[in-house]
Amino acid sequence: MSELFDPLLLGFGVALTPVNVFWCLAGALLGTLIGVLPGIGPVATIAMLLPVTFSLEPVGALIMLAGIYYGAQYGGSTTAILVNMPGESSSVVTCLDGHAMARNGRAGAALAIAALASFFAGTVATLVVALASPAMVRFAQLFQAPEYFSLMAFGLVAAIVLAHGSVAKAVAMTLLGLVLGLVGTDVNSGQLRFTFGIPELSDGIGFVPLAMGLFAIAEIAVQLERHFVRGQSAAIEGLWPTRAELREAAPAAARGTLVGSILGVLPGGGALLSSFAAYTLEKKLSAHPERFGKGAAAGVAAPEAANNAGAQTSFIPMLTLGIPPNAVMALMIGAMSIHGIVPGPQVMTREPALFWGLIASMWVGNLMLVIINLPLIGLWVSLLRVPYRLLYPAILVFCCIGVYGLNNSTFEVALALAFGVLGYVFVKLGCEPAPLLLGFILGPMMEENLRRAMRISRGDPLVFVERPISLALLVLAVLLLVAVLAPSVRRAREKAFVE
Amino acid sequence: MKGRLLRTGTLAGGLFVLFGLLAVTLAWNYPAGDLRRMGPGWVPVALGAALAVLGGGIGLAGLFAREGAALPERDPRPLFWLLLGVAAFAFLLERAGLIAAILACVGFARLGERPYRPVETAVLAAFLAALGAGIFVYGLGLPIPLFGR
Repeated sequence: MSELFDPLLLGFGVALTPVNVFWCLAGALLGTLIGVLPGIGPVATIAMLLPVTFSLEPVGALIMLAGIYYGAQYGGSTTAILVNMPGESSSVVTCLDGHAMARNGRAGAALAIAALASFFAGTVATLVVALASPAMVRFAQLFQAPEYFSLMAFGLVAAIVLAHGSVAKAVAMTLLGLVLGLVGTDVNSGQLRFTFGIPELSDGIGFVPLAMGLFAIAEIAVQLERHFVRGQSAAIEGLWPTRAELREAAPAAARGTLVGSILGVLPGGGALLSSFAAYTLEKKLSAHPERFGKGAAAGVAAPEAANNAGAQTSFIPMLTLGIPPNAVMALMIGAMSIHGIVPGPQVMTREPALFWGLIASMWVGNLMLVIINLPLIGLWVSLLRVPYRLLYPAILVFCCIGVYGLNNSTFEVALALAFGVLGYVFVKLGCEPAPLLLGFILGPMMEENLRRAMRISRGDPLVFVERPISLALLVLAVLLLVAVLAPSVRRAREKAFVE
Repeated sequence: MKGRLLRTGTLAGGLFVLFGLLAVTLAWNYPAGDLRRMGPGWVPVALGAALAVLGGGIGLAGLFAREGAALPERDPRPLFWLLLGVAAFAFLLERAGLIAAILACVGFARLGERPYRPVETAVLAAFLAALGAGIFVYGLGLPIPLFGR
């Protein structure tokens, strides 16, 4: 047991220093503040606040970013329950029963159930991360170029399968993302690719301007176009759930935690898929499925537990393999590189304080979210009353400063502008930007590992199927792709996303 | 026919073909190498070709399917003002400094939503300029010029 507890104690020693507790609190507060605003999800929030963490110690910076992530995630649920407006995509399902509970006069209870389910899931998921990470690090010792390539290929396939809408469009968006990832100087030969003679592009397209354009600028434009009117916030009287609500919510939260912990590790999965899957599962298991959508406590507890658990276990591949399973983790990797830490299996042994401090801070962050969200709920509600016409210019200005502050480059601001146009076009054409982002993140790593694997095997592509781990990953990827294209599964998948 | 061309599938497919062909054309001149030693051109050409082929498939399927999703309503005016705001920010930041950049960014971007309310917008712009300068320049000490170089 001490194998688990000694490192965790070390971690809590780091996470509980006053400075780091402060950064964790600051991150959770800022994240909640921005997460409550409509249309700004965790990716844009973290990207916007990345420059804020430059001057911190690496541990403090990562702890704060993680806090921002949970905060942004959680802020989305608050708006989902109170005004039926998901602050970001992973709280879409929370709208269904959370807002229904609020309409039934149980807004306070819904908020409390969401907070407690999240906290429970966060506690379990912290333990899962602490237990699974060392095992993954040992497993990662077996990985060489072919395994890394196959793992990322599997990740992309998983992301495609999990995207909304047309599979073909998702594949195309992934390919486009892979191509965009190649812009810049080729590491092996020094050849400039797709730079159009622009010197700023020789370092490649920045992740932050890309994410800002696709996820912030395009999103604000779409919101404005709808002339969107904010609903009235439901009144909150009393935060305590009844005994019956608690009895319904507790097992749902436990199942949601399990679903979220597993799905969070998958690339492209994370919080979004976890919450959808957990909700669907609860509805299937429930003795009264007809109560779902009309204010079932289980319909709040399960997705909230799942998205929090998923958010946390998505740190596992990032921390142990250096492979980001989603956009938020790509930003975390970016933040690590800024502080001079090379992500990968060696982080655990070389930077144990940072590794375990970050894991321990996950639990601290979850505790803070309960504190921030229950007593301070009035503050967030009043923020919801600020009209959108005052909020969106503020969001835009902070995005611009965030993009500029990263490299002090106005070129990157212009780049964000260009991706804003592209993002708007994608929205209109029904193309999900998430697979593009994942392709963009994994593209350069995949190419490098492909070329390295081919060099080692002297040009024999069979290397990918001769090595057992690589073969297993590729077989899984093919099975997944075949499954999603099979007519019966396809119908079920469409139905699941409609719900 | 025009209705079929304005379907999301047809247009998206066309866009993917365009991007794919662009990638192949540009990457054609990069050394491709062989399987044993892949050059910088190998992967981009392969990806671009795959994108163009798949885009072609999506486009044709959109064009010839019995029914398909039509391009939704669009009103590009808010986007235009947002972009103008961002462009003004990028243009002014190193020339006139952060304060001017924020004022201009808010002034333009705010045109994307009615009612405009000039006084309210001016107050908002001034507030955000003070907030931005306070947090990023004074608070965090980022090397951003306040009033131009």
